[in-house]
Amino acid sequence: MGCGGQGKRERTDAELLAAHVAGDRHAFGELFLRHQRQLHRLARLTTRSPEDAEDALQDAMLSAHRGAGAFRQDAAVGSWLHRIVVNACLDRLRRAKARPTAPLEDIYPVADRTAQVETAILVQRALMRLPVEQRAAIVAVDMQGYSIADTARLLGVAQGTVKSRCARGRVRLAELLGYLDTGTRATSDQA
Amino acid sequence: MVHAEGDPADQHGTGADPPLTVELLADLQAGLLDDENAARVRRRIRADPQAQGMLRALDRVRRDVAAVAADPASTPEPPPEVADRISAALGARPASGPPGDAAHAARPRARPARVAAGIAGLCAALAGIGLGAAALIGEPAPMPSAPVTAEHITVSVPPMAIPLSPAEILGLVDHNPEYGTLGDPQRRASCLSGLGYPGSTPVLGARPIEINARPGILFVLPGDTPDTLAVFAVSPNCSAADTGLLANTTVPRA
Repeated sequence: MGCGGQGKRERTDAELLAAHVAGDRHAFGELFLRHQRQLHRLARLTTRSPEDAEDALQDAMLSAHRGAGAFRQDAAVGSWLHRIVVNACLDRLRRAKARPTAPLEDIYPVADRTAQVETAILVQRALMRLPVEQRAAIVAVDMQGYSIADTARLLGVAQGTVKSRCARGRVRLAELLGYLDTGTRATSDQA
Repeated sequence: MVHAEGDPADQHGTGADPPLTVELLADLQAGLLDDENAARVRRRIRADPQAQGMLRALDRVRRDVAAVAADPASTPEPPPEVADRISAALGARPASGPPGDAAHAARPRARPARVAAGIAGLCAALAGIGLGAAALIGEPAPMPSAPVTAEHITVSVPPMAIPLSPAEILGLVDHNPEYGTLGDPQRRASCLSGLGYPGSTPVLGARPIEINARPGILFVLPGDTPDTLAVFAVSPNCSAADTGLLANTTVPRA
């Protein structure tokens, strides 16, 4: 049997994916476990609820598992996986447009970190307080570098809507993170 | 200049300039203002240190959000049962090859490892192909961590064969594409995105197809190099989230 018999040295992402395509039945699982923390965070930031995040992540991984043979991008395998997860999450939001936003829970109980990590945690916490529509737009555009056009298409909304969600979400984040406190702030009240 | 209705800046366009609120600055940053209004707001910002501070705060938000993606240390540990469930779902699939039963693929859930028996055979077959290919290629010097190129991945083991000859595939390029269930441009763009292509990629040829009795849509797309075409057979329900890829190949352009 040749499956999984490629030795024990750490394989790169690309090697794992190639091994998966060539029939190594453990390779994709290893690839998933290697990236699962970040992929799960991405899914959680881009979906309405923990359950949605889990479902979207599973759908995305099964899709990637099936479609690995078509992987052809110049991007790294990790970026490809990230993109599939974001696509799955945005697709899920598109299909469930009308549902109300679920209450949010804090999923970042991390302590004792550097200032940079602390900032990242604060930003994630603040993101989780945004309505999911604004959060998803900001994650896609500002975090993952999607174009406005791509984001709009995946969400099934107009480009102006994506821009507007980004604008409102950034203002809210600036407020939540206290970035506007340093100067006197001219603004209208908003939720 | 066209003044779109409902444009945030236009409500104030004719009278006095609106106050430079953080909301207005965010609209500017997001590209919501038309050129004329954007230029006017920018001019005013240059003379307004407070507005400059707010714009810096919005820029900082964008930078910090982008930095989160590059900061694995801040990533919370997901509940272990999530990884367990997904690993189990992945483990119940063959490593590569046809997507099981396409009808079920639309709603994949953790399934018992009922395909385990098949996997052994599939692995043996694939390993045989791999060894055979390796033997034919000869013995290139080992290249540690050489990146596996898209070509390598794409041509290694096609899941199922596309039942058209290269000539027939090239012939599709000369005909109007028949998209079948993917006639809606939005759905098609979503599908292309799932295949790793920008949604605006021109589809050079398309037609409904059947592979091993499974219906699909065949897409002919620009290949990785100018002299090749990429060919994908996807599920009729193909979307960004799930292409339902049945088979893919590359063919040289005529």
